[in-house]
Amino acid sequence: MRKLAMLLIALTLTMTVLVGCAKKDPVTDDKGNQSGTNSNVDDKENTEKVTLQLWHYISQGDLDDFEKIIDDFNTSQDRIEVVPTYVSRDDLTKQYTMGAISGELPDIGEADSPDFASFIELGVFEDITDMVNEWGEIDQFYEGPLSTVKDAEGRIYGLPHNSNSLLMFYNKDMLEDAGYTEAPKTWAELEEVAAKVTTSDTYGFSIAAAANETTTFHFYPWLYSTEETISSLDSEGAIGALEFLTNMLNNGYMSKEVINWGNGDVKEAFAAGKVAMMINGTWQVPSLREADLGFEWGVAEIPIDKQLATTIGGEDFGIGAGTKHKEEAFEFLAYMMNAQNNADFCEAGGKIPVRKDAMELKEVWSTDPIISVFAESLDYAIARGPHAEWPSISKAIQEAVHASFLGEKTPEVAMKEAADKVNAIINE
Amino acid sequence: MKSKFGSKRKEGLLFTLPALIYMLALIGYSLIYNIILSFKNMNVRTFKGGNSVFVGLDNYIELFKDPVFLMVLKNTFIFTIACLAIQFTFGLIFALLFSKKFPLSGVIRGLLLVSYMLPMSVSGLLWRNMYGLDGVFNTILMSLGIIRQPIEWIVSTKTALLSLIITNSWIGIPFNMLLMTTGLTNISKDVYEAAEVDGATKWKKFRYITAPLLKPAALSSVMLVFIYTFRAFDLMFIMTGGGPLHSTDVLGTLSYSYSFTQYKFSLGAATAVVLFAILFVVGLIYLHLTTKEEAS
Repeated sequence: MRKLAMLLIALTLTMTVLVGCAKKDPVTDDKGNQSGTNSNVDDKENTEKVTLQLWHYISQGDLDDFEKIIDDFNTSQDRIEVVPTYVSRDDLTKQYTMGAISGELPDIGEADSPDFASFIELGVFEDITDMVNEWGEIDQFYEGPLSTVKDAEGRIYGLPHNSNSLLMFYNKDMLEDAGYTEAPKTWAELEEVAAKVTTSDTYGFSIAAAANETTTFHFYPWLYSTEETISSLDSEGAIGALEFLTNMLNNGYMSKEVINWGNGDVKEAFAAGKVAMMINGTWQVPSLREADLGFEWGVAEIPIDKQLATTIGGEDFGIGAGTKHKEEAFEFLAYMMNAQNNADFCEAGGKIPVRKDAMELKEVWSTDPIISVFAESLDYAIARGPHAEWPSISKAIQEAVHASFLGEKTPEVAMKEAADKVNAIINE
Repeated sequence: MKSKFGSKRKEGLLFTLPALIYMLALIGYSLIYNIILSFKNMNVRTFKGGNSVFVGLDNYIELFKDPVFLMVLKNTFIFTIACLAIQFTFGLIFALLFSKKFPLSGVIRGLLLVSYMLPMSVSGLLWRNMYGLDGVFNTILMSLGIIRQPIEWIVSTKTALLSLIITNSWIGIPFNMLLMTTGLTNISKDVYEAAEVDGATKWKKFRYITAPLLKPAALSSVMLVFIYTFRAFDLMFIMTGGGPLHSTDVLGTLSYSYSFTQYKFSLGAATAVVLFAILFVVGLIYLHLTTKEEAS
């Protein structure tokens, strides 16, 4: 009896450890914000109106433009009410995985495009192929973003929402002071310019390489510029790409801290004049334009080895599996993703539309000296995946880049190890 | 006599029943679910439609063959034991110091608690910035001429874990101080007075009165801090994300990463079970020690 009691008490003491891993109710988990899951409470009070829960991670700067579309939709008819809830991106991923087990999913949810394939595989989103076909507007969507919401059989589980890509932002003043009127175009030129503009308190160059998807996002342009791909990571070209970036870091042109820097951190360093040339995404343009930086800046294609290359990023929206209001949810998706709304939202938030006819609605994507370079880059931008086990592929690349940056492994050893891991997943 | 004892035991069981039911319903369920999950092969491929099957100890074998897991296990122990040693030592020193009344002692003790009261996310971000290559530590150390090159605090695999140990100790010392202070106030003043009458020195008073009488409080403090530190998660998550290259990864962050970044649910569950098992053993040792204490 005594032993049993002791066991029980010991259990009590330590049990709470695992609770963190247990499923939590998103309603209470969400910082007191109103939130909910497939909630049909309103149905009972008002048999006419359907309430749809929408989870997103659209940040403050774009929130007004995003919510305006929802408000317009809500007032345009009296059958459906869409209620948006902000959930941070990390939390959202967690909620989707747990929701897939517990069935507590939103009616409509947002996801980062490289993650979407995993969510399809996990059964987070509804198959909406038939509704999409009936809708008849899917031909207007660009193939790249659209591929991220399809499974291996070509079934459709969501709609792409916006696109972005990486390019090089450069501080014109700093480059001019060093005697350059144009941004470097090749790796050799980049190294030369970076060497010239690096000073005791300015780094010549920076990518973002935080220990998550960011590193892979940023490594892709260098990899694909060598004409190698994700399935040839142990090639000379792929190793050369990592070698080039590692040298930029070892020579002091790039901060050792990049391994902790996300896209936002790099932008801050650039805006503060601590970085002369940075690789960053389309979405940074509006805030850089609004800020009073005190210097002129421009945007150019990422310097090349053999060919132009960049990575495409973006967000997708899907309909939560098990929703009771699939039709209504799609009605909203179709509204949100009509050409006009897609163009309006993307213009305001510094993003690239996912529809051809949205692109034609406004001139900004062809005439704006900065945005147009981003829009053009989508012609050659490479998408990550889609692959259900993308996070594991991505992690192998991240670890290789970090091992090389930290000097723990040579670029060659690091890339060969990554190749082994990635090939094992791809060839499964 | 015998029947009286029996009814008392029943009474006792009755008292523990509500807590037991609560634990079983809310925590027991997820605990058992988690343990079952750790013997399956549930991942992104086998998740939908319940295609996962039992694979016995495969997940545990995979974990203990993986150098990353072994390193993470080592990190967790180093982190916990180092934090425990630092926090306990300084907690005790501060508690003894502030048990003496001197000008401003109350104010300073109050101020010390600030680091414990700050939300972890705030402390984490604060220290992340201070550890920067051109952050406040490097700036001060360099201007004093102590170092020539900036220390790569959380950027280097060699110093990252140490940096987190320092930060976590800074956060935890006040809590240890509070626990020790409570223990100290429970020691009757009479004992010290009696010792003084017998001519005991300060050291002798500490060695033969404070230390043994503080032992129960110290023991529970060590236990609490061990459990709390061993399952650390948020500090790593905020400051380093477990990096660089797993050098600050602990069992908590690794389990999260398996489950929610890579969707290897069963591996994540197995990692959590290892974490739980270790703490369970620690809990048993604690009970053994305290029951021995009570008996003597």
